[in-house]
Amino acid sequence: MSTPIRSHLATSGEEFTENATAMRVLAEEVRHLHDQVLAGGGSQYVERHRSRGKMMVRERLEALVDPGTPVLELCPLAGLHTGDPVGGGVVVALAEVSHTQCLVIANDPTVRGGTTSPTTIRKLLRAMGVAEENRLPLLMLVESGGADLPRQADVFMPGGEQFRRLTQLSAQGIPSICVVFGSSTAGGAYLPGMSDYTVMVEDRARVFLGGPPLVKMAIGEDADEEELGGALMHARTSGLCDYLARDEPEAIRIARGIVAHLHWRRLGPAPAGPADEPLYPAEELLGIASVDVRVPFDVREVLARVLDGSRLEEFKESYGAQLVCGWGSLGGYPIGVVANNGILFSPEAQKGAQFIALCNRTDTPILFVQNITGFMVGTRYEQGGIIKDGAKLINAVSNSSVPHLTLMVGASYGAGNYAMAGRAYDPRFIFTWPNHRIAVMGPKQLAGVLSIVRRNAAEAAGRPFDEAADEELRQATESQIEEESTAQYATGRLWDDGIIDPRDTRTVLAIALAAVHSAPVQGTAVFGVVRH
Amino acid sequence: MAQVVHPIRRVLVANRGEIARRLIKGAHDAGCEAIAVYAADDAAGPHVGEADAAVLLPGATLAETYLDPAALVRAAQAAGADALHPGYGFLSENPALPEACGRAGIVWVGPPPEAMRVMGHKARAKEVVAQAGVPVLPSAVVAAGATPEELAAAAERVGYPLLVKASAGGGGRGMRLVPGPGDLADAVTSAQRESAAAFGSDEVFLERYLAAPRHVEVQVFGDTWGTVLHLYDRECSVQRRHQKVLEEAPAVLVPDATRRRMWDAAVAAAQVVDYVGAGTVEYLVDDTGFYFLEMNTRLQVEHGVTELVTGRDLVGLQLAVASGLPLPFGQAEVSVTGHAVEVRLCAERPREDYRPTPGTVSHVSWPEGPGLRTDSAIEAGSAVSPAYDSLVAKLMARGEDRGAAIAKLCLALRTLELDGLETNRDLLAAVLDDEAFRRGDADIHYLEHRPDLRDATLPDAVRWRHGAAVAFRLTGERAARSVVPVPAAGWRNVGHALHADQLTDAGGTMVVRAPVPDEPAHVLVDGTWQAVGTAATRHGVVDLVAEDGLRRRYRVRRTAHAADVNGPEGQSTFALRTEDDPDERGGIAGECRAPLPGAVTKVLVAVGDTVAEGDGLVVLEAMKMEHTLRANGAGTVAQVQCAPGQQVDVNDLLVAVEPA
Repeated sequence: MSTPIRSHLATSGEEFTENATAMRVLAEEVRHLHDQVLAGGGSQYVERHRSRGKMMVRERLEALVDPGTPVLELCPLAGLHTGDPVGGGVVVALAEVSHTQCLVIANDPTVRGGTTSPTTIRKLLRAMGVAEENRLPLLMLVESGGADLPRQADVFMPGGEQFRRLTQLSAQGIPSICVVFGSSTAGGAYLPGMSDYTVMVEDRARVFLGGPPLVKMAIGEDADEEELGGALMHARTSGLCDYLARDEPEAIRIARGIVAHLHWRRLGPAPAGPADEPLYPAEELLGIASVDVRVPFDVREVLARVLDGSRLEEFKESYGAQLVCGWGSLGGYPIGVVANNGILFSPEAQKGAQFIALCNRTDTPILFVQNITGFMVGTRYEQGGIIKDGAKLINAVSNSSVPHLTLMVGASYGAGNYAMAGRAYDPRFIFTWPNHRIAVMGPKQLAGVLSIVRRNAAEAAGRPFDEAADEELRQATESQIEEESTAQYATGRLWDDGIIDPRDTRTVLAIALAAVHSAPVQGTAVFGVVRH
Repeated sequence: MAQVVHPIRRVLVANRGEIARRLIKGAHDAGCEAIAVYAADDAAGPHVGEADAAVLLPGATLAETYLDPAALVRAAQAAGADALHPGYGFLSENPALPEACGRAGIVWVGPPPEAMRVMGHKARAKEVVAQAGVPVLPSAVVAAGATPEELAAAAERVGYPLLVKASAGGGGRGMRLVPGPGDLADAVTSAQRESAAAFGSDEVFLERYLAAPRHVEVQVFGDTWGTVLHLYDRECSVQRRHQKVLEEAPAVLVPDATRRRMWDAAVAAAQVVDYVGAGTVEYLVDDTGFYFLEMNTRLQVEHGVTELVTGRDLVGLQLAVASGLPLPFGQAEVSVTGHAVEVRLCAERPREDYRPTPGTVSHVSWPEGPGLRTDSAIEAGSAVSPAYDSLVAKLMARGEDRGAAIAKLCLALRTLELDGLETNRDLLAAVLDDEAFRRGDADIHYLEHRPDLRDATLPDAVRWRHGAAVAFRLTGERAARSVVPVPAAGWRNVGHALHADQLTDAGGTMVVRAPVPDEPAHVLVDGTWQAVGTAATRHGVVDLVAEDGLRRRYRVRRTAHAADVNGPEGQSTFALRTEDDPDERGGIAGECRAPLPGAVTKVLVAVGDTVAEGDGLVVLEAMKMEHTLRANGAGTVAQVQCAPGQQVDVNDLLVAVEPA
């Protein structure tokens, strides 16, 4: 039987206070970055947009969603530290519309005119993937200048995929609703073109393959914008517009009405038990994870503040103890938990593989909690078959067909990332805490490895080894890797679906769990060949 | 005088509303069965179910039902009733009913028809009581076909200013004020016309007008054994349009010596007509003395305050006296203890000349406690129809003294929960709160001179708290519908929830926001968000800790497009739009739909009219405000689906315009 986890966290201790202080600073940094995203493309563009009587992107989103329901934006800091606009000029959110959980994509036209950067494409494709995997109706609030033309080489090829994905969603019976608030031209014209439903705002929407300048260039015609692609024309003449709205609020009401008439049925099971709050306050999640990711902490302290009633029925508690496996629930949804409590050895890998198979037999979604510096290395372990056992775990994770949610609360290094459902293993959702570190290995190890390689090369070539130069290089490498390992760096590259405030963990996971249950939850008995 | 005892076992209550319920209770208290009557449209009235049995009065009009003596007697016979109690209003002062009862052998719970007839004729009543030594104002009957000279002479005898009154009338109908000779002829002619229409007689009389009198009356009681005694006095100076709004017992600021003379005069007036049963002698009182106004030959609406201060059950006494028993006490055994005040809660809008505001009660909870009494006509689900009186309840409070009674009643009015119906509650509370009234400084023109009381609304801070309570309630409801299985109302990982609700009441439209339960609700005041308070919500109960640091409990009940808030500071009813309601332009081009629930007051177009965009189509009154609904495009009016007076719900199609 599952019993509540008993917390041993010394919440008045120095370590807790230090951790919490550091975590607060990191969470505040993220909030600050969110505020920058909220400010759009800058006050000048925001004012111009408003002066046209238009709503800001999040005002459109807020008007669209059911009042009083939560909204979880995915990848809000996509593009951070890449040179692309942070957020990619597009909002992607899990939101409830007409009592239906949907995936919403909305352009921010104040960010470089809503044009498409490589980050935008990656974020859009991620959004469509979320809609498809979780069977969520897709709403698009479009006002986009199309491809960022100077960067066409980076967006042209990958950009094409969004239209293919749209029609494939439709083919799977996942509805798409496109509301055009402004320009949606060239390739962008296929957004309404490939959608199940289109709504256009009168005197605002402009949908054409080629705008007047291109038409002039291509065939010498002097075309009028309204005649070429206005909402009224599409409603009366071309038939591209299904619903004509007199203004933005009406367009949003129409979109809500369309979602209402979908009578969308969620195919996953409803919560099976009580969604009672954990026994310990969420606020304490700030002080659990160590400031230095190399300092271990008991992952049960996290689970005790996330799971319903802090309950966890531990599986094989005394075997492979550095991987905590067990059954619990979150928001009443039964889940299996696979959580690191140290490095992965053979028993941990075998235990995890068995547990994942069991979750598949009971159609139970799995929550992976990553705090992993990797699989154990060394002669003894290689000889003990750590590769074979690691392969068992990666095999199970890869072929498991129940939904996976991944939460990264500390380190995520090396093959541990893979075995614990890192991004490459397509978890349904993956969120990180602000303290999170991710890389092929720790910066110190990586710099040290390179230093050893250099020393060996020098020795082999009989060259003298410059210790000072090596130390300088070693430090430069370490700080470069350190920087590239941060949560911010990772989230900018869409390695996750967002950095979350640790205190929001339960809410975020509950929203994600609700989303995965929009689709059927079905395990498998079929895994790859297991090497013995 | 007959001294035969006819025990009453079953009494027909020939009335409806609160008085019917009062009489049913009175009958039961006296050990009698009570039979109700009801018109078809009144079948759901609470009195019907509370009686031991009820008889349907066939017919659609008042004249065929509650106003038909024959129908009432037939009902009594059908139910095997041995007595009939008329209540007040309707036929209570019409001698035709006791006469019909007499012919059918049914005991009439009221005075002899002859006494009713004398007192029902105002001019004749004055003559009769004057002979008994009761002070009257100078007056003169206007003879039929009087010449202008005769009229002028009569007026000179009475003296200006004077009133022209209908001899057969009451309730201010057919009454005209004449300040000087120049207005006399016209006033007489129009009073005659109105009197003829209202009472079937054009006889009018002239009477000296008192500038600022108070209304004081004496409750009298007679039995068939020749005893007439009084149960002291009441004051009913707070009136609107000649109808009492607030009554109290005993009278305020009248010297004891004067009161004593008023009691004696009242008994004399009753004795002179051999009065039996409950009656009320009404006076106008000013510094110059007291003057007979009229005698009401029935139980009064305000009898309850007398019951509260004397401890006597007037309905029980009526039944006892009607059955032929002598009054069970003598004058010396009647005394007054404390002070009682009553207010008449009516479905009406004081600020618009007390226009009736019919509606359906969705919830009601009367204040209870020692010294409080409510005689009500309604319960949850009751429809208050424009076809009947707008009085929905009488709230009464008794205290050791007048101040205590007023304070208690004031609090009771505030804590009364009444959803779905607009009433004059704010006016009543404002009167009870008014310094002048509390000093006893109110004559019969008090309300006319104090429009501020009519316009009384809740203070802004209270409205905001009420708005915040609604917002918290909505937040709770919405969170419960979310697919997210943990509490996360309005949660955002980026930015803040922006949703605000628009709540409309007589004070205007309030924009209020309470997206997250632990954070304060805000109202938009002059473009700035102002925090109102935080709250915990459970089952429609909102415990709000406001910015003043005080915690108050509000009950919020909702229908699709309205929210009622009841709290310690009063009640608000707000109309609210949902996110899916179309705006004023209607949903579809050419359609004009109701944006709020309300009543159509004007239809500005007819089928076939050509309209331009923005032209007014319909005036809708919703939440005490008029909204002009306009064409959302040019065209020709194709359909008009509403008419003035019609109640419409949100989204009802009112007018369709065929686009040009």
